[in-house]
Amino acid sequence: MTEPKEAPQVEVESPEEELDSNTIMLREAGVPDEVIAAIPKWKTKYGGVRVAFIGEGAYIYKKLTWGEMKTITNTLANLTKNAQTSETQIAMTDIELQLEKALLYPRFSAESSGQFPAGDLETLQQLVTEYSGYVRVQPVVEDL
Amino acid sequence: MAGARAKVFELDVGGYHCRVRALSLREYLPISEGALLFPTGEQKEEILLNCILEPKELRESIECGDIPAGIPLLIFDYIMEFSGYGMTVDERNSVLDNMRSELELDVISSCKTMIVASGLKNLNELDEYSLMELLELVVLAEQVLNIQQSNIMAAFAGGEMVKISWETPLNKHEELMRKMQQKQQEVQQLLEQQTSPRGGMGVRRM
Repeated sequence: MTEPKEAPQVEVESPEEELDSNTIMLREAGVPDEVIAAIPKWKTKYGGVRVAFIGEGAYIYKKLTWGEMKTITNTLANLTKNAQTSETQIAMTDIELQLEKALLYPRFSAESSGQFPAGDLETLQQLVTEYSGYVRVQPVVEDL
Repeated sequence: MAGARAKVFELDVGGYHCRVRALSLREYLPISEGALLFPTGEQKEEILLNCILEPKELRESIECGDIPAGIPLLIFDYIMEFSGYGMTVDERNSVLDNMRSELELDVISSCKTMIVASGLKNLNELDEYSLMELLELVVLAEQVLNIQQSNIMAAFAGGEMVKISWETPLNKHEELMRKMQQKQQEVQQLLEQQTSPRGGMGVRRM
C-alpha cells in the first residue's frame, strides 16, 4: 500500500476577490470554468469546500455529515455480515462510499474508481476525514 | 440506573467541550458480536446519545445528522478508548501493570478482597455489613480458602480431600467403648515390651 501523499490544500471559503486569485491555480490544474463557477453555490450549500492539488490534478470536496456517515456505516456493517468479506474489502468500500458523497469535482463512483491513482484516493479520504472534524489533538512536546 | 457508576470524562472536540461517560459492558456486548467488530450507524448513534452527558446541543446536532461526521466519530473513539475496549494485548498489559503498582488496600478493602475470594459473599453485599462483621467473615473466609487450597493440593498430589462427617449420638457409646478397648490393647503391648529381655531379639506375639 502506498504512503499517503502530502497534498497542498487551499481553503476556498473566501470573498469573491480571493476566489479570483485561486481561479488561476484551478484553471492551471484543468478544472473547467463551469465547475469554478459552481464553487460559490457549493460554499453556501455545504458551509465551505476545499480543493486539494495532488500530482497534476485538483480535487474539490466538502465535509461529510454525520447523517451521510451513518448511511455509509450501515452499508459497511451489512458487508461484514458476509463471512467472506475481508477487512481490506471493507476499507476499500469505505473509501469509495466516502468519496462518492464528499468529492464534488471530479465526480467519483465505484465504477469510475479505476481512473484514479490508488494513492490519491487514500489521501483524499484522509483529507475528507480531517475536514469533517476528525482531528485528534497531538500532544505538545517541548524541550525544557 | 444505567451508567450511574460509570466514570465521566471531559473532552474538547470540534469546538465542543463535552462531558462523556464510559460505556458499560452491558452496552458494549451487542456491538461486540461478530469476527469484525462493526457497529451500525444507529448503534454508534445510540451509544453517543447515551454517553454524551453535556452539552445538550451536541446530542441534538447528532440526532439531527448535519454535524460534521468527524466530531461524533472522534467522540465515539474516545468513549471506546476510555472505557477500555479495543486495546491491544500490550496496551492491556501496560494498563494492568500500572493498576497493580497503584493498588494499596486499606483494612476494609483487604477484608472485602478476602471474603469475595472465598466466595462467601458478593462484593456489592459487603457494604451492608459493619467492620466487625467483616472481620468475622474474614476469619471464616480464611478457613474456606485453606480448605480450598488443601483440596487443590490433594487433587494434584492424589491425597485425601478435606471432607466433613458427623457421628450419630447413638454410636457415641459404642465408639467410646471401642476406643477404650484400643487403649487397653496399646497399654498391654507396652507392658509386654518392657518385660521382654534386653539387647536381644525378642519374640513378639503377632
